[in-house]
Amino acid sequence: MRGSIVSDGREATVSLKVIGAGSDPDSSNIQVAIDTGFTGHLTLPPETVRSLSLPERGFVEVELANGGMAILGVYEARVLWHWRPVRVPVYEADGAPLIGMSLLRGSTLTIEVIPRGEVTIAEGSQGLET
Amino acid sequence: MKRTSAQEVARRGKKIYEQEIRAEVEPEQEGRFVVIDVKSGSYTLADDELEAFDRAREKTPEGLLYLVRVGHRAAHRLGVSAIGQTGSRSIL
Repeated sequence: MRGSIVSDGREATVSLKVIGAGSDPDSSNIQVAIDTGFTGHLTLPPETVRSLSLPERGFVEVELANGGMAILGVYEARVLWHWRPVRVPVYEADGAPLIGMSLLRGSTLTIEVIPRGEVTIAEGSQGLET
Repeated sequence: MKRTSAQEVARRGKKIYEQEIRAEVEPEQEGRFVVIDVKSGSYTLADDELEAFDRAREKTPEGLLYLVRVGHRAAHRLGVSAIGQTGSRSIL
């Protein structure tokens, strides 16, 4: 999985295919930012949750970067991850979509932190040469 | 309206966890996920969030479900807290 650094926003982003539920689900390629400070899998804004008709599972409380707390809706989606569909919990949150450490777990993330630098998410430890 | 109901689910979920579940699961089950049905008070413990939701839904199909992570202030963090433990920063 490869992406690129967004030069002006200084974010490491990749394109993620998100698939809704059901026998004939909608899917969407979404540009997501990699957030190693996010311990969950994926956040999506409310409009994307609606447009993919993601099934609601419940609610969760998360701790924000400023120490505050927020209650978010939890939904379910499938994402194409290392070429396979994987079920993931989706947290409904305003702002840019994020992927976090729960989704990255088991992968090797490399980021070339320069304008238009390369972002690579490799399965297991294959991306490491040492 | 959705907002109010989310706040209410969380309030009841936290109360049930504090009063009836915490002593049963802490510290032995630290890090696992608990899904509480705030209508019936029943709960499900699993290593994986979606597995906990799946099993809770099987138990109470009409339940209102709230997710907790055992031993954590919140089930997840969004963004690295400026005043959090340094341990959480050294993952990579």
